[in-house]
Amino acid sequence: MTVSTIPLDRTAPVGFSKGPALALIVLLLAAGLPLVTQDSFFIHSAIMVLFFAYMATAWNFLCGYVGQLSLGHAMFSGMGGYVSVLLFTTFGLSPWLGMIVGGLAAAALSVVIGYPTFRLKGPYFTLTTIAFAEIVRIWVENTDTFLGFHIKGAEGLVVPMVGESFAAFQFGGKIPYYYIILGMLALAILATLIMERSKLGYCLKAIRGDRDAAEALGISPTRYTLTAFAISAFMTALGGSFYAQFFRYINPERNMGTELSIDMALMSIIGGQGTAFGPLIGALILTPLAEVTRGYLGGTFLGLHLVIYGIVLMLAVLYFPKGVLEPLKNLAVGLFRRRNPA
Amino acid sequence: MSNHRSQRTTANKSNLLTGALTFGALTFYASFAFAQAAPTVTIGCVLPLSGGSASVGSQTKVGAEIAVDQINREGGIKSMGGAKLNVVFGDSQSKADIGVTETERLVTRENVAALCGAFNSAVTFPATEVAERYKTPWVVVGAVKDEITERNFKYVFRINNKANYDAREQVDAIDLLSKETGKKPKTLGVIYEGTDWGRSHAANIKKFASERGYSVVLDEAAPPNQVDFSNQLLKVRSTKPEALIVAFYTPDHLILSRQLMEQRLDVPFGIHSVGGGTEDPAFYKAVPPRAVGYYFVQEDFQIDITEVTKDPMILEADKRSKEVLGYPMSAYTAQGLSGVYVIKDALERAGSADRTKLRDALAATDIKSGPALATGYQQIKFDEQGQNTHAHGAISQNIEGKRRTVWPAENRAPGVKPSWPVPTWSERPNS
Repeated sequence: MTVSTIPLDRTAPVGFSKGPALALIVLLLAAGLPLVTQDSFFIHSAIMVLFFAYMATAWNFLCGYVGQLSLGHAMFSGMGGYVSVLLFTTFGLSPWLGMIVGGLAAAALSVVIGYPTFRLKGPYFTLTTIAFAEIVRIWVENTDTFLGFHIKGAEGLVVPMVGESFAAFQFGGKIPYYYIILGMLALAILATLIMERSKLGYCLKAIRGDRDAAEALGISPTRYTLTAFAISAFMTALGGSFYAQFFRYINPERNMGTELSIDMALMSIIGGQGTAFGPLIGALILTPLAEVTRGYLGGTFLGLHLVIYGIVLMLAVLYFPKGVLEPLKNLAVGLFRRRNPA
Repeated sequence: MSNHRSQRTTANKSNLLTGALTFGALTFYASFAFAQAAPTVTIGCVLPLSGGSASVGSQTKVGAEIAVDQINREGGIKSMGGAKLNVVFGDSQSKADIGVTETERLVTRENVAALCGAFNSAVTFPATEVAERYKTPWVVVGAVKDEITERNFKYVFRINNKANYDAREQVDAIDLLSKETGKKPKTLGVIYEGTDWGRSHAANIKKFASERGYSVVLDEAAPPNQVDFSNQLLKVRSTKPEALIVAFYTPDHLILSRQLMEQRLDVPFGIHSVGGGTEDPAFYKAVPPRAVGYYFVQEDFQIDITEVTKDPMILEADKRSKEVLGYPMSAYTAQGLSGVYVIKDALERAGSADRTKLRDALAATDIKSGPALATGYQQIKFDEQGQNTHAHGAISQNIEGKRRTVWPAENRAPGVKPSWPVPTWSERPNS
């Protein structure tokens, strides 16, 4: 172990170079899924897993690497959804462009919020993000019209059906949505991998390690965290737009609510925050768990599925405080070494 | 088949082995006949069974389960040879995406013949779209968003009101009582929770009031979860509306009602509350009865249905509701019950669990009696958009400690005399 890897890279990915190759294999397997099964419910569930994996990856881009816990990311998701839907319904702008506009708007909002709040540490930062997200949500819930746009308050927005059209982001079956969200997730993970190896990534990890020391070395915490925050908000907003186009309905309670923010954070933390693949692992474990328990128990033993979900979360946090990814990796490495004794 | 049987019976006497064979054959035939005669029809219901609206969801669930028990006990779906009804539930957690996922599951995994639910408009709106895509009929229970039955869908039917009916009904009731007595208020006041629900209700009230010649002298929104209504009550005192329309949920409504009583504020033509807190059984446990005396309450359910109906199934459902939930049948229990009976009626007429046939039967629904009318409607019949055009709420007045329906006139029990204008505080007994 060389000295240089210790302070900068806490997660010290084992088999670092194998990461991208492994990712490519997983991606190809995922891309082939619709060839194996066209079952609508299965594809739908897979879309939900990928959606949450994407949202958690977007959250992780900032929070996992800079070590600050944001519980307000849903506001960016809501912003992305609302901007793309409003531009589509008001001006007929294609949601593909609308989601970029929504992403940029969310990035701008993140800078406005981030600039004063990144001086705050730990719980103060978290509380501020919750407060901002709740302000945005409550404001939207109580606003009918804003700058001539019909936000429709708590009622939510409906995306009118225009028939199958790529430009309108509307497809007959679920498979196109599956590939879109898979592509978005692949890009988000790629962005994270690139960031990990870039100056931004090293600076963020330095800030996470010791903010004061990093500052003393000439790293500007505000500049780097704001950059990461803006990228993370941008990606989250794209996810919000995807949700809006997939379900063709959004409302402030779900798309800007605290629960979505918590879900994003939970999947990252359980999977392994501060790693490129942790959020994906978290979503792969938690989303099907929620789905299966709800399907089997939700209708008969009211609320039991949430109790089980909660217990799994507690066990995961107790036994794998750094996330499930790390023990999984160690296991894989252990198996590899046993087979090929060097 | 009877021929076959007698032959076997003769053989039975002579040979034990044949006897055993006969028994086997008979059992086989019997079980075959039984299996053919009574298949099970599964219907699915998506409801908020955990999270913020869990109480509502579980009341609706109880209503649906009571209906299924009753139907199976009375011989199932008769046109399908006594097929038993089975209901499976999906928990939406009041979230659109989860409601959609549960709908996908019920349609593709549980293979349901029809769906019902989902109380929250935010869930019902996207989930009914899934049902439409799968050509699976969905009977909307509880959700009021107007657009749900304005999309030219073929498989979506709504038994209950659209959102904008409530305000019209409150003004209708004031019109009716004025006409009956010749005493008409000239001014109205509206105080409401400053949310989507409160605001849109107030806007509708103002629209109908101006159409019918009432002037709205007070229009006051209050943020939810207040601790004090003195400010709003001062405004009521100064503007003196002759009737006051109120839209609040339980916590706010409790404080408002207490302060109205403590200040002995007289509103000559009464307090007219729209659902919210005043349709919550918990509300009436928490306020002294005299605080809610003479209150008018609009809700999507006839609160004194058990006093006016002779339908044994509705009466039994009320009893079962008390056993299971601890309180009489509520609007939600009645809606769950009604939804299942509407599907049952369509199954009887379709004679099949085929989704398309069932859809056509639902479209031809015309129910004029029976437990499907547990919410207090006179009829259930859908227009081409699937909206029940005979849906209406019911408005009760709290007369001598009992909530009795006064509007519409057809729902008013014999002997119920609305108090109009309402007595002043000093005229009321025990005040």
